[in-house]
Amino acid sequence: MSRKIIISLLSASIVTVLSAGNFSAQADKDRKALQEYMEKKFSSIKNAGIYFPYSTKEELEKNFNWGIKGDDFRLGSYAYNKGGKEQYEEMNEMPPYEDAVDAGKELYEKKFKNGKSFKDCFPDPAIRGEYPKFDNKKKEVQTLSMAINKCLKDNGEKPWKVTKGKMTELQGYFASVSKEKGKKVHIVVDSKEAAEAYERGKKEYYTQRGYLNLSCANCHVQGAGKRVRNEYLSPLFGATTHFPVYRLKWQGLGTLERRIKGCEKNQGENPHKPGSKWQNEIIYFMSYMSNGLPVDGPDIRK
Amino acid sequence: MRIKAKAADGVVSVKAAFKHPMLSYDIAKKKGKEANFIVYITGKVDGKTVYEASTSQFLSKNPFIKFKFKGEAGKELELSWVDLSGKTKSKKAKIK
Repeated sequence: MSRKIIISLLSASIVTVLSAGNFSAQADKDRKALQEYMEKKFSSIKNAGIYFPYSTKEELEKNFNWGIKGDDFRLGSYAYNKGGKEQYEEMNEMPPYEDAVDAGKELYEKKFKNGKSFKDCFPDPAIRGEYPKFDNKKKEVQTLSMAINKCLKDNGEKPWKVTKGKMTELQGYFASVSKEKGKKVHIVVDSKEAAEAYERGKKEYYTQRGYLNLSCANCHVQGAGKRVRNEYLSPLFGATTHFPVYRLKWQGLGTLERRIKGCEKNQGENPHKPGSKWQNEIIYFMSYMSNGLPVDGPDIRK
Repeated sequence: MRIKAKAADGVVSVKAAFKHPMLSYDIAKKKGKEANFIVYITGKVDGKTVYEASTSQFLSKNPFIKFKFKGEAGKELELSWVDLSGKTKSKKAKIK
C-alpha cells in the first residue's frame, strides 16, 4: 500500500519536473525559427531575390556584408550594413559611453541614506543578461529598471526615471561588467503565467498599429536589412543585447524603454508609457529572442 | 578628458576626447547662452611641445582628436586646453 503511494508520488514529481521545462518550449521554438530565418536571409547574396526583391544588384554588392551567423547579430544592422559598420568601428576607438559607465560604477558603490547600497540588492553586478525576469509571486514581468527602482524604494530612496539619466548609468555599468565576464543573454520562462506574458508580448510585437499600420515585425523581422530612405533596418535577433545604448541622436545613453517609445512615436503610434506592463511584456519577448547571444552593452548606434 | 597614448617603433599614437559643450556663436544665440568653445590645445612631453592646435567653432561637442609624434613609452604626456572664456584644463597620461 505504502509502496504504491511512493511510486505514484515519485511519478507525479517526475511529471511536474518534465512539464516545468515545457513552459519555455514555444518560446524556444520561436527563437530558433527566428535565428534560422535571419541566418538564411543574410547568408548569401544568392538568396537576395527572395528576401530583397526591390534592391538593385549594385546596392546588394556594394553596401552589404554577407554570411552573417549567430553572435554576429549582436551588432544589429552593423552586422550586414557595410558603411554603418565602418563608422561604428571608428567611433569605437574612443567610445563615448565610457564616462557614463564610470558614473554607473560610482552609483553602484555609493551608500543610500540608510547606509546600504546597490551592492546589497545586486551582490553580483554582471546580471544584465538575466533581465527581464518573471516574478512568479507578483505574477508580472520584472525588467532591470523595475528591479533597480525596487531596490531604491526598499531603501527609502526616490525611484529613478526609466528612460534617461542615472538609470542608464547604472544599467550601463551592469552591462559593461556582464560584457567583460563574457555573459550571455539568459531569459527564463518557467511558469504558466510567464509563458502567457511572453505570448502577450509576442502578440503585441506582431500587431499592426498607428496610421502607418505597421507592426514591429514588419520592419524588424520581414524588413530587417531592407532600406528605408537612408537607413538599413535592424533585426529582432540580437536587438536587445546592447542596451543601454549610446545613440548618436541622443548624444547620451538610453534604455530599451526609451528607444521603444521613440520608435512608436516615429511610426505614428500613440506611444506606451515607459515602464508600463505593455512595454515590459514586449521587452520580455524581445529579450527572449536574443537568448544565448553575448551581452554586448553599452554600445553605440545611430 | 580621456587620453590613450601608445608607442610603437619610436612613434607615439594619441587619441583624446574632451568634455566641452563647444557652443558656437549661432547656437549659443539660439539657446540664449554665452558662446564658448576650445580655442587652443597643447600636448607636452618633458616640457617640450609635441602637439599644438588652434581650434574654433568648427569642432563639435565633446571633441575627439588624434595625433602622432616621435617618442617612446614610459614618458608622460600632458594635454591641456584653453577655451574662449579663459578656462583651462589639463591632464597627464602615461605613454604605454
